[in-house]
Amino acid sequence: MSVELASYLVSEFPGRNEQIDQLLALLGQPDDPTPPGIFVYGPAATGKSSVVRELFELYNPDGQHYAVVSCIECFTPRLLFERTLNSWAGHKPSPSNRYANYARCENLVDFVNCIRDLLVVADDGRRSNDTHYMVIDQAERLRDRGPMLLTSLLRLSELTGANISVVLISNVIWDKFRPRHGGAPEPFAICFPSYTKQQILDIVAKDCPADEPMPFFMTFVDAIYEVFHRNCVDLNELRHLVAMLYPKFVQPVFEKQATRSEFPRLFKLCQPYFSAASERLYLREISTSEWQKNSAIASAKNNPEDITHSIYQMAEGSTDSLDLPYYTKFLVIASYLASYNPSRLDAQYFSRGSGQNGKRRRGRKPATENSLGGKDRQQLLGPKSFAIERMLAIFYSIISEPADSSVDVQIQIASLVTLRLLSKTSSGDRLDGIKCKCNVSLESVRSISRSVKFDIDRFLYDFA
Amino acid sequence: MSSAYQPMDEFDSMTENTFIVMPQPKNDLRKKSKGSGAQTAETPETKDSAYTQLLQGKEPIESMFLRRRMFDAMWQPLEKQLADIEKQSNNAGISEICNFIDSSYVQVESKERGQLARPFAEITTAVTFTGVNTGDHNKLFETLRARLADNGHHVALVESQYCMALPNMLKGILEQLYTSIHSSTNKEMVAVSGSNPLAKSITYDMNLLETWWALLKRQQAKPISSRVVVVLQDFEGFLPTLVDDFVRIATKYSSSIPIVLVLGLATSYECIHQSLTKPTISMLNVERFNLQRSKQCIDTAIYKIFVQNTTMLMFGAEAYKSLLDQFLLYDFSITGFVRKLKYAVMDFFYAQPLSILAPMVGTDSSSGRLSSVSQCPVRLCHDQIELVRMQRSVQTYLEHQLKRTGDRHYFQQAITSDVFLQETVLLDMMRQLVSYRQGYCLGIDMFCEIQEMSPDTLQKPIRTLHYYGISEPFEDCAHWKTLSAVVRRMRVDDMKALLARLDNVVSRSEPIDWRFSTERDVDILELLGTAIELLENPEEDGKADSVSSDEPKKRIRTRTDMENRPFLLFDNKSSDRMLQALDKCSTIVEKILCSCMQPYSSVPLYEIFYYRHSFLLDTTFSAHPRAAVQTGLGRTNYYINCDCCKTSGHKNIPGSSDTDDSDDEETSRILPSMHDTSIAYRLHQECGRLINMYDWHSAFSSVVEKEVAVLRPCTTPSQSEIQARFMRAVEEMRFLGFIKPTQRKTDHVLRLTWGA
Repeated sequence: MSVELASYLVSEFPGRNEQIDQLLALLGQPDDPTPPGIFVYGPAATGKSSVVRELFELYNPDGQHYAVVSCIECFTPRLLFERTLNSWAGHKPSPSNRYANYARCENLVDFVNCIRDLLVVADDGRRSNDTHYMVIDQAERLRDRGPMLLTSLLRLSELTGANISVVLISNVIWDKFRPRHGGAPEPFAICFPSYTKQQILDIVAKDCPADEPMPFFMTFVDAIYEVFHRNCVDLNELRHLVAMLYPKFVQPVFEKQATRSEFPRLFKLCQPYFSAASERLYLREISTSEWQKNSAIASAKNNPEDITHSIYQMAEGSTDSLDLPYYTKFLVIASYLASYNPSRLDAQYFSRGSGQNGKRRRGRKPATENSLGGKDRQQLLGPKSFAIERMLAIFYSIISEPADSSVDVQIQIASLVTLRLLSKTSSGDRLDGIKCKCNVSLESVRSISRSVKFDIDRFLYDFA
Repeated sequence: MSSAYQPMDEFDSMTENTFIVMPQPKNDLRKKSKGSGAQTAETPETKDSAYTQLLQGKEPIESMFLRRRMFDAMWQPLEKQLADIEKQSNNAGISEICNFIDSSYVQVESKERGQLARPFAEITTAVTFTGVNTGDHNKLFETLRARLADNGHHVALVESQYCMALPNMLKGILEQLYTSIHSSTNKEMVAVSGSNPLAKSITYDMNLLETWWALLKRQQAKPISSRVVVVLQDFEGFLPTLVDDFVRIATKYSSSIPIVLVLGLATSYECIHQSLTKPTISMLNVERFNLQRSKQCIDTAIYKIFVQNTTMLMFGAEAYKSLLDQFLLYDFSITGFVRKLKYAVMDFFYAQPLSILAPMVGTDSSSGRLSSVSQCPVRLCHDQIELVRMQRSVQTYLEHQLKRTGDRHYFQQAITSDVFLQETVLLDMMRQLVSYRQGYCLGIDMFCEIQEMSPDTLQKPIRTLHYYGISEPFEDCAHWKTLSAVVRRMRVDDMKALLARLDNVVSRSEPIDWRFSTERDVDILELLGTAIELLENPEEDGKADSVSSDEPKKRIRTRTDMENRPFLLFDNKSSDRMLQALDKCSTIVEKILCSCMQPYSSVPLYEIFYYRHSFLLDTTFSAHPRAAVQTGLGRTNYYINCDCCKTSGHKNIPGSSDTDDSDDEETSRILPSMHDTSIAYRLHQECGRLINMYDWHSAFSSVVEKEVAVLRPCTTPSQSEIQARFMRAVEEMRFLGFIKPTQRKTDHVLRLTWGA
């Protein structure tokens, strides 16, 4: 049975035969003793979870001997324990049991006891001593759930006396897991390395639409791989790009603009999509549905510039411009200035003295050489935190007409913090002397200041 | 907590308590009962309303009740109207979201060929941009939720403040979904075991939801069209890691449960990129929706309420600016706008004795606009009539009438007879007010039409146009000057179109009774008619007054004219006559507009119906904490009003500038009876940047010693007591942020504030 299983899995997951063989060897027959811990690791999108899941589903079709739990979903140890027991006991919450779980396990002791009740005590020779598996996905989260949890899980078969194996799946190496107290046994590690180019092409070949010729499709995939593999190692991202761009690539064929053999011409027609959209698609500035809905309209028959334009428009969406009330805009500008300008130069930039102009020019001269060449420009270092009072002083000096210091300004500062345009750096219980950082990018601040006709570059130390 | 006549001890330390001093009726019950006998005694109305009789208590009690009733009668429809406008403004956006959710999880065959399977399990997500006015969002999302629930979806609406951790969040979501799902499933299935269908040891996780959903699916024969919608109202408020985890969990279940996420974003899309991780963003299949309509909503509200005469109360330029500034400069908040409006209406009926004149104007039942004028429902007493006579606009009106008609009798009667004033003059004045308002509405409508004909850069929203309309004088308004320049440069076709539009506006509006307007001696309809005719056959007109048109004929096609009408350079077809006609038309348009947009201060009784207490609105709604503390310490009298600290004979009233200068000397005197902190505050005002503590202390003790000398002449004050009091005062000053200790000199403190 295991040979059939292995051959099926290998055909399903190209490039993973070594790992599959290793896993199947460890599992052996259902009642074979297994290592108490198996650690499956490797980078993202290398098929760890899918291989393990598929393998167990086929290995144990009735699903009574393994439990797959995700650490993100089971955010407390209790959930982890109860889910595992539910799977092992074949229990399902339903109206008849008032949606309760198999047993209530608040802590590890309860869990061990429940396992004993379930697997050991009930075992009066009638039951076979089959191995039970606990598959924990995103296992790196286990490290945050108390110091003893991981250790105890790895010693679970020892603690319960049952034949239990814990399979941990993670994209972090074991060295980062090892508890400090050293009580954890070393699990058996299986590494899922990144795919090679040929493996990737083999996998993507499975996505080929049924009515498309395979070699034609593979040429396109090969090109995509060559373009993107340096920046994007994630197999799924690559598949996403292929799925998004391939329809555009073949479109000229159906629109009778080119034939399937004219690759250079097809690539040229597809060019605007590659250059304008790839980054946005990768960053999901254009989502899948937006792309599919809108790109159907665009066609290679159109002017390439139109296509580029429409793609940019899709990303901007025309909706997500940040519209703030008038003074709030100035508050954002003031906090940006406070975050990126050195405070010792505030007097030069913002004082409203009589000799203001001459003074500013004199002050800026040495600053220019310093600020453009230096490695420690604030623009590169990110925002500094500033005291609210300093920001308010800048605010009152940059607004054109004098505003009263009313409570509205304070309310706006608070709402900027809730909107995360400012982030508070002083502790939450401190009510006076609040410190904040400006969380707005230079582009947004520029567009904001343009809307209020404020020339921010004149006041920025790094650009002035 | 304590009322004004309790002992002073309660007010002892400003830092320890918050005081609410309830307003006392200005005139006590004794006076009231003298006015109108037994009626005042104990009607339920007097009990629950805080209204008092105005005019030093001489106002009849019925008028007071009338004002109370009128407030409800005016505010309730207004409030309903505002709520409707708010609901309407987001209707389109909400319907879009509903459609989107209805059509989600439905496999659509794409028209494009060469589609591939998608590698990611994506979750359908609607990102809504709601604008920064977070205060209004509760209402908005509640509407959205109701709409979605009506469409049969199961909705869970969560706010960040209740979701500090993932367990809380899931519990909140699942509890809402449980009620929703189980109200739609078969009742007997739910109530299988006992009263509580949920066991105590239940864990709130998505597994549970999956079970519920499977149950629901089994019960319904046909495929379920409803979706599970999870709305995160304020995305920015959630912890980023929390949303991240939630999206990953939800995505896992999106194959078995049709989950749709709705994220409410107050800022921009950038926020999602900032807070979520790349793998999570890959899981979102986003569509964007725009719901930020607060500006449009306010525009509609202003047009409906202030321009289209639906309420009697109008806002004067100052008060309107204060109302609008709060909205535009600070928060975009509709709730805040409504609150201010309500306060103004309340203040109008509470404090304005002549607000009883408001019911004289009836509204048209179909359009809701003001139309008819009838007699005042109550008989005004002599004091009220006197108050009417004292309004400056009334005096101007009477003098004007006298000058115009020469009817001395009318004038005399108006001055001497109360009955005549109420029954005739008041009615006339109200009619004029109403017709002015109708004309104003027409004027604004025409203003809009002219603006629509002008280039895009000149477009201004209605809220601004209204502000121009009420800030006087209209002729000097820069925007109007540019617009009239546009009109003057118009070609014949454009002018024809404009006139047609204006004509349309005039004929659409209800007929205005011009008889009562004294200022307007122009007939808009007639003028428009002439203008249209002029354009139709300019030659004829030229012949008609050829004698008088010799002079303007020369002017046509001069250099300046070319500059004014650049199209003349290329267009030689239009004759001089035509140009003259154009010239005349533009003058007519200007004349019409200006006659409609007279300043409101020219109509009688405007002092009453144009609300102008902008100062009150400002102080009520935008508090000035620092100014309040400084007044409290520097001018204690405003707050405490005690006899011992009165520096001069008369009381000072805050905000009245004329008394301030003369009393400056008096108020700056430091009296020993004042509060310790106040003494310390006044002393520190005389210091520079650094304050020597010893000097401050000696000054303080010299003041305080005087007090002890007055109270207990024979004893000498103990030094330690004075020192203790001084230390407390200094600590309070530090706490209030006036001073702070400095590293430079140990025995000095730094002064932090300057100015009064």
